[in-house]
Amino acid sequence: MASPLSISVVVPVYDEEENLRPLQAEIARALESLGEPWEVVYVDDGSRDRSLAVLLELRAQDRHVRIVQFSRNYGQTAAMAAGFDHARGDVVVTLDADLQNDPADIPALVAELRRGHDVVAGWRKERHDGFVLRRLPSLVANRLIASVTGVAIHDTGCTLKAFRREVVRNLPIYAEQHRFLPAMSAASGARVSELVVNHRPRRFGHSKYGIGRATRVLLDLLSIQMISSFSHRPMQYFGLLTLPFAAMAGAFLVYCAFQADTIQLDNTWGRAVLITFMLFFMVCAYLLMLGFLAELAVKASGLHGSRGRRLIVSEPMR
Amino acid sequence: MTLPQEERPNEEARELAKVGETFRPEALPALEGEAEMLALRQPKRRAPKKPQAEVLAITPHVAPAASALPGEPPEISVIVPVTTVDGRVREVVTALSAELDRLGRSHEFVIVFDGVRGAAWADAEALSRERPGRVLPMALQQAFGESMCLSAGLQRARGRIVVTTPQYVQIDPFELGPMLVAIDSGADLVSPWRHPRVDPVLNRLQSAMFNQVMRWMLHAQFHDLNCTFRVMRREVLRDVPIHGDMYRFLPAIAARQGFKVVERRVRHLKEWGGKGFFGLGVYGRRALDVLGVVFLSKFTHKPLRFFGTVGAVFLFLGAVLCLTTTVQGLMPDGGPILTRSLFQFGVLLFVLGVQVIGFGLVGEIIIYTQAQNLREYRVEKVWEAGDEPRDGDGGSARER
Repeated sequence: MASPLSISVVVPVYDEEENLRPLQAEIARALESLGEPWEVVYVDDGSRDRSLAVLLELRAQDRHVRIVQFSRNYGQTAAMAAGFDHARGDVVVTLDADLQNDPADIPALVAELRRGHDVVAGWRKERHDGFVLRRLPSLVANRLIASVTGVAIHDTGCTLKAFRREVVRNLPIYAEQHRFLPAMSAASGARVSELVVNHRPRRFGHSKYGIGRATRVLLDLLSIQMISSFSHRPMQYFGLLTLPFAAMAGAFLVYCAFQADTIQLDNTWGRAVLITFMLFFMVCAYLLMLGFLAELAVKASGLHGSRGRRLIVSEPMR
Repeated sequence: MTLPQEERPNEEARELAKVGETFRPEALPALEGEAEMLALRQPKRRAPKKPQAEVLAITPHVAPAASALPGEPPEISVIVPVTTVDGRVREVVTALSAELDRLGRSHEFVIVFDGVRGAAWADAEALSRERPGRVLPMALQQAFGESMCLSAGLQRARGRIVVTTPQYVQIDPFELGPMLVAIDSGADLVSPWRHPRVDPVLNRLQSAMFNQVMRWMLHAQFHDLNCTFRVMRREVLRDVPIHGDMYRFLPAIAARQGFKVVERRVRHLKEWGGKGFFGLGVYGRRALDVLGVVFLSKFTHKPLRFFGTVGAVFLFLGAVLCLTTTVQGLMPDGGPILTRSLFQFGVLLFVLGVQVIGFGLVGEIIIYTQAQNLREYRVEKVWEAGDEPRDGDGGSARER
């Protein structure tokens, strides 16, 4: 596929007016060194400061700059989705606008991608953020994500990532799930790699993240786990969920059978055993029924069968 | 659902079936026979058990585009949903068209009867004869609600700007001018704020409460969401999905979708038909509507975050109750505590928690299967490299 552009850099921008000029200069320096046609897609996520004006000036100076302007603030994931929708290059690189990622790492990421990978994630080995509020939660989250999804990436939260265009074209990204993109692409057959990248302390502006993300990340993780491995056969997922409850119900049943002569319903202990058995039985039955419902939903959407997985077929890069 | 019209043929077919007939006295002579037929059939339509199939068979099915008024498309379409037989259609049409004429804006009226006829229908018929090509009355076969009237009216409306108005003159027509100016200077929707109000205290009180609740739940800074006299670009009504009683929240939903919504203070002339207290059923339905709108606007793309949080709370409470009662029951002196209902309540809470989380998982699957069609952002403008900017896509789902 001969596309005129080879590299698209997608940058979500939210209130980053001071950072944009140096950022654009660094991106230009990094990409000019590659000597390939490139573009930068800035997605202005409803900034309230002068970010858009600065971007428009940059666009007047540099013909590589494209701007997608949102009508209000939609969040980083939506901004990335818009960037993916508008990017035209064979390789799509995502980058934060806060200058903490170093654009000088882009050529290395692209080279790693061309070595036969579909996704290359950046790994901020030495982070310059507060430990308790940023690094510790991130460490825990990354371990969890790695163990649940089976895709061992050290640093899922790093925005600096490179994708082959087919990968991002085929993945639905929604909610705040950009951090799960490597895991999701791996689930549909992409080869994922990672590379240590530079990380710098913030110079201007302030962070837009807080610790409030923890519970949301946990819940998102649950849904990602289900969707990345069971989206076209939810019955199996719900079946697995019932297993522990079924085991407990069975254990209680066996216990009742052996103790049949000593258990009496007017006895408090006997009653408790019975109620606990009912609990596990109900949960089992309920989850199984939900599994049927989920099958129905998948069936109704036509994602069953071969279309269920939009498999990524690897083809050699140019 | 933010699918554009073109991509849902079924929806359109359903819509067509609902839009029972279009009264077109100015149309081709061949159609006049049909109009007579309809007039003859009218008593039958009011019969309590009407054979639906027969009604559909006789109803002239016309393509939406073809059945709009003839002539050049006007700039402004006024859509008037009529929900009761005593709607003051003539009053509305006369007042608004006089003002629009004065402003020099070409316009048309689409009057949508929500399953009612009566004197208002006769008025509308007469108006369409008096003002050929300017007034289009149409009737839905049953009452589908104001939201459906608006979508049905939009199919026939041709104007770039859509004005929706209640079925009586409530706002000084003079306010149309400034509202249209606001649209011309970049707003997508102009929402009125009746201030000062002229209705009874009870009406004002409940309206204020409703708006306060909306402010809490949607963080929408509107003073007056209850007034349906609104001026908007056509795209707003096309792209903001509304159903049921959701027309009420149109400004709030449109603002969440990224349309530019402004509020203008307008002169309130009189209240009409307001009974004061509307009955518990009405308030109950409205409260459910608010809940539905809030849920959809916050959690459409991440249902598990909602169900998961609620379910986890239940699960946690249930587990704590079960554990504490079990521990107490195992104590030598705490025997009877297990027989108390607290343990059973804990078990119920636990099951409930699992159920709610399960709902969230199924919700995630449903959303995942539709994720290609649900885009969560609306592009205002795309500034291509070096070229002139092109307008945003209006949030259509086609590109994804």
